[in-house]
Amino acid sequence: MDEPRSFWRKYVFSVDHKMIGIQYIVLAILMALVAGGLALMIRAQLAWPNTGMFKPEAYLSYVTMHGTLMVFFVISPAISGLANFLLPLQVGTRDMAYPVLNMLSFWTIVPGALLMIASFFMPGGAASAGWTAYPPLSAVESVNPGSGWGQTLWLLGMALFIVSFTMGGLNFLTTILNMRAKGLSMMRLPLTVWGFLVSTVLGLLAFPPLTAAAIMLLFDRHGNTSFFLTDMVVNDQLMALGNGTPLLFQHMFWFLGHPEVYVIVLPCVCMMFDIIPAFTRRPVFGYRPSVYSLLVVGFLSMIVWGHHMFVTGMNPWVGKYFSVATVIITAPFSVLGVNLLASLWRAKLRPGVPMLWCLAVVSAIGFGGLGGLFLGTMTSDIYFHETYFVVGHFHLMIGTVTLLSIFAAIYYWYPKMFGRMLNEKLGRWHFWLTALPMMSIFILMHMQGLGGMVRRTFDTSVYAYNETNAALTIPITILATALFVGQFLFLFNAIRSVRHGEEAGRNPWQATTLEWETESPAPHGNFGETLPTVHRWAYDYSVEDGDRDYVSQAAEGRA
Amino acid sequence: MTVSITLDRHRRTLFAAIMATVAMLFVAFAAAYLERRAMPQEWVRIPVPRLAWLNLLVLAAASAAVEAYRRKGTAARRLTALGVAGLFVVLQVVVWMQCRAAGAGLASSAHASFFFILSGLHALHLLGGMAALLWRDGPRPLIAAYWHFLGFVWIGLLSMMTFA
Repeated sequence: MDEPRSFWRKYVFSVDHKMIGIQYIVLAILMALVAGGLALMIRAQLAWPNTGMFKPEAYLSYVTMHGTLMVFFVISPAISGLANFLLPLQVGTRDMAYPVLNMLSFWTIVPGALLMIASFFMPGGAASAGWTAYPPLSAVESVNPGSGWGQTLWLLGMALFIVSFTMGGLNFLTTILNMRAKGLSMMRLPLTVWGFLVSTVLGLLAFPPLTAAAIMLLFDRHGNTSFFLTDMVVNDQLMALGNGTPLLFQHMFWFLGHPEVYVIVLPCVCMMFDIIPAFTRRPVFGYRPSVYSLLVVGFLSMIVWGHHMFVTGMNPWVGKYFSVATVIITAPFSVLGVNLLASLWRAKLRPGVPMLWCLAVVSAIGFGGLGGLFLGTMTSDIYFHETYFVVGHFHLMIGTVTLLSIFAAIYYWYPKMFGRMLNEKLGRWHFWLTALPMMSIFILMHMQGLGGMVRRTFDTSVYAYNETNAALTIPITILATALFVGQFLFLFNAIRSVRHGEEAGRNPWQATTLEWETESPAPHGNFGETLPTVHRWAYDYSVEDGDRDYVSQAAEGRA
Repeated sequence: MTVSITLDRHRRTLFAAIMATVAMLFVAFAAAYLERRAMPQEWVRIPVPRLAWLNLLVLAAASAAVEAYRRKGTAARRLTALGVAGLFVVLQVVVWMQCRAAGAGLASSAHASFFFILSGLHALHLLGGMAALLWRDGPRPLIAAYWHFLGFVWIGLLSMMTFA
């Protein structure tokens, strides 16, 4: 493997997994600024509904694009970035199985992101049918102006995202299955790698149904078919659209939509299992049960999608099934949560910024999971559906849990990326300015939801009963602003530390996994002349080995 | 030597993963078909031309020709397989023309839409297989597996659209 010398080959069209990983993370950060800005516009409208700042249809497009960008162009690429950076290092190999495919994967998501942003400047504005793109909102222009060009670009952007995700996923899968270092059996893999593996398999199986739905939607929009469209009256005029049914789309969308939650949550939770032991100096609790639970959660996540559709008039017996299946998924997921808690139980924590984030993640899992029980149960969901309870809940799970763990991971692995530490003091400020507002915002939204405040509504003050809920709206907006501003501390820290951070050395956290065996930043080809050989599992902490209390996976000697 | 073995292993994994993804795409369409059919909305079916079923024999012949090519990678066998596959595509176009002649179009009914879109996707799937055959020193076992997979998918879809 020759090391590339030119700027273009090294930083732009790089095939080195580490550079591609960093590129993905940079893309995620840039898109987070856009999506976060949209969130602030949404919050401004909600807090001061009568100023006429935005038009109602513009508001709906901000909601739609905030969701779409956050899920597919912020959280997903951030996780892809971490996976790209970590997988070859943690399995002890020199690069991904298909480096060129890997580069293509990144350069496919970039135009996808650009199309999404371009859609704001189209006639009719950006897509505004929600991140779920339900027809007829996503198909009939007279119903929703955003369903013209905006929706078309949205569909194209999503298509590019799916292609990019698939290329990346095929690479992750092949690399994990075929390129593990000598001695690294599946049951010796760090849980981070397990998380990426399960998430990749889920994604590869769940995205095709969305692709199918998108193809059918395209035909409905441009080919006159009526899979999802049905005759309806718009502005007192009968529109003959055929005799399809939007319910079909909802089933197909949520068949992806629900597993997608786990595609982004599972790797995040799993990364915690690798960060926490470096600070508790003990093995994680229950490695094998965690692996098995992970597999069960992955499987179950594909057969519970109907709990997003309890109020569609489905047969109550079908609803009952989805309800029970959803509550069952709590069991294996709780095993993961409880194992995280048990890993912390009576531990003497070493101080460190990554640890702070981990603690916040564990509590977000707890809060978020609790709310999930109410939404998974059909009877209570009928009340909570379409309220801010739902908004609060999913933001805790796929917003807070993921974002906080991504930050934990960035603070933890930054030294391996750039050879320098992030500034500790700024890191603490950033942590408190992120975790506190985030948790408060979404817990307060649960309160508003309990009060019956409906979501996706331009001006909630038109409903008199919302007066009591309104008291919380401005505080939430203020917290959201603080959250957004706090992120600039991180940006400053991340940029400054590339040159001015404290030198990290190979293994600043005294951790056991393979990435810490090599220099920081890891050189081209990752490991020197020979690849490491693995002699034990990934969590050999609390042992006596000379003056150390841990044994690296690659160290010879004691098995 | 070791390098080529690893490459082969990567290819197998990659191939299996791609096939699983493609299978899920068709499973999703089949599920959508069956679900739409079970819904209370009107379900008008169009007659599936008999030629579509006869064409299944051509597809089976193509699969057999690819299998022969897998066993012995001669140019003649490769071109035979390509020829038979081409015949399937031509006959598939005739099937579509027959449908049109009988008054059925893409948007005539949900069944018609499914029929045109699924047979169209299958044709694309098949063109992918033909592209693989154009590759002179391609991995023959994988190409053959692709063709057999493709045949089974089509038997399933065609039966569903004719009988269900």
